[in-house]
Amino acid sequence: MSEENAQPEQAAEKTKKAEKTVGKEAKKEEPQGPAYTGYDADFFLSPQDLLDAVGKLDQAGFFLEDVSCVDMQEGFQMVYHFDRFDQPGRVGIRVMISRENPEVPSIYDIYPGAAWHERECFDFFGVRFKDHPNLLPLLLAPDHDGPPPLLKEESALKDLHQIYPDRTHTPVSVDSQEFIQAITNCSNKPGRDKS
Amino acid sequence: MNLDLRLDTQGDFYSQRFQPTEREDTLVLNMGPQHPSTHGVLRILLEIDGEYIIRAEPVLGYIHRMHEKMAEVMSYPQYLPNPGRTDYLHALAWNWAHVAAVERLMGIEVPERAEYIRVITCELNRISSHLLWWGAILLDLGAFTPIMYAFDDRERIQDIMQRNTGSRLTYCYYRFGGVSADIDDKFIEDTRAECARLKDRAKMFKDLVTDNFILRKRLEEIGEIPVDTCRKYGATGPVLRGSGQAYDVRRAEPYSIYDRFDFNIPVYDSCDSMGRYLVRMDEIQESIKIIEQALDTLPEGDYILPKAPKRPKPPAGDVYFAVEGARGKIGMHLVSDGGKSPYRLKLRAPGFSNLSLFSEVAQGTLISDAIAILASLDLVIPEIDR
Repeated sequence: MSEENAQPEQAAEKTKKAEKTVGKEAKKEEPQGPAYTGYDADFFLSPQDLLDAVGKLDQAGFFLEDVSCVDMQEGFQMVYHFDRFDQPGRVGIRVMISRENPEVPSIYDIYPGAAWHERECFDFFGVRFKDHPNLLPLLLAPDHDGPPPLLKEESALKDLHQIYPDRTHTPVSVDSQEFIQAITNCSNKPGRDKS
Repeated sequence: MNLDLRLDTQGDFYSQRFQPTEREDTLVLNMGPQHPSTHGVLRILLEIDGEYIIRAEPVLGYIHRMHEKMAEVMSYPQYLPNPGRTDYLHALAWNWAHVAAVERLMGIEVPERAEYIRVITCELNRISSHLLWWGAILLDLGAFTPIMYAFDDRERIQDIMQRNTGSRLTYCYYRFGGVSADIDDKFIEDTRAECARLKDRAKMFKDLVTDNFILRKRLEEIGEIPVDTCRKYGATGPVLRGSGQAYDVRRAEPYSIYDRFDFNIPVYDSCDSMGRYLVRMDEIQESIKIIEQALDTLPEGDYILPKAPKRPKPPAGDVYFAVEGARGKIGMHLVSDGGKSPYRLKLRAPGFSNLSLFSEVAQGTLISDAIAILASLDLVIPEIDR
């Protein structure tokens, strides 16, 4: 092949590359995320509403999937996952608590299965659970020395807007129609059809 | 003579905090972490009255490896082998939950053929996991021979899987966007032969073990778990289905291509250890049905997305992905800040929730029955401790 023929091809490639980078930048600007996140209802609540909300979920027939925690700039984000046997659909309950006084009420009285999950959070983050019957180290050794292992360094902490750019983080009221409707109608069918 | 056999100031951190109740005729017994029936390093503190258990408290953490921290310091591809090291018996389900969570966050569509290969291999792995459980529960109950039969079939499945996955136990076969290698005709042929063989073996398993009078005496009406207890503790998988609730993530929250296959969800409402036993025996046959249908309709095409990212950097966000493992619902809660490693990855281990109800169920049972209950929960300790 002669060089003359090859050159226009290279030029074409260059423009393609340029287009690609333009495309990438455009993508970066708008926050992209999955069509279906795995959550069918997802709420930020204030810590004093937690027991109330969990009680309502219990009455609605949900089971506890897990209790998790995320270390963030605003404090610890406690995440409770619930799902239902008869009408499957995942509910995420998020509660922000301060790093200075990391304490949240234990949901052990409603879901005894939470006992171990809460002990795990106590191990990994140092979060204390009020009225927990047996808040001892579960997975870490009792003589573990040093800070809880999943605490992040100050410089590595991200805030809520960086992780959840396109949603509000204001707590909803447990008695609001929005919350009650959402957990009653919670189902993964419509969410999954979207993806 | 007044012999006080109870622990007062002796013992370690946990036994000191496991104080005996008011009664003076009880004994605190430490079972494990090296007890053979605890399948690894589970430790249980028991307060017993003769042969009867008054209280039981599992002590965890003997094989804790902090997989969740490792996720935060490793990049996504570096972490690929880790999930399979938690539940080493159903490694592919964990592998799947991890890659699928990342795929969901990035919006990656997995090629059709890759989905089929995932279903086939994951179900093969489920069968081999159930076979090992079957051998192990019988070993715990004092029957030595069945595990030899179980291993005969298990080894065949491992031989088949070794061809394309490259390993026999802690598989790391799924990649972001597909699987690491295609399956060939030999794999398909061997899998079909093994499916036919396992169908045949089912009758022998039934005659040899399931119908056995002693086994039934050891499992029937032992360790009854009402369905509401399962709900309160978050128990899933065969434990839940043995309590009469037809809940299976493959149906309830269908992922991949499971909605295309015709299979039943075995349910027994006896709530006892026998119910959980029968659920798993039936599940082996249901998995065979899924594999055969998948092999019949296996499409041609890519086994991995050609443009699949080798070093993924998912956008900032928060997703949850659940799959049905041999022990129940495996969940991955992935929080990303847009970096090359997760901001937070929470692993939901089904065995963790299933074991947490043991304290309640073991109350008032004989020690030998508690062993049967533990075995019927199908525990894999590295998964519980993570």
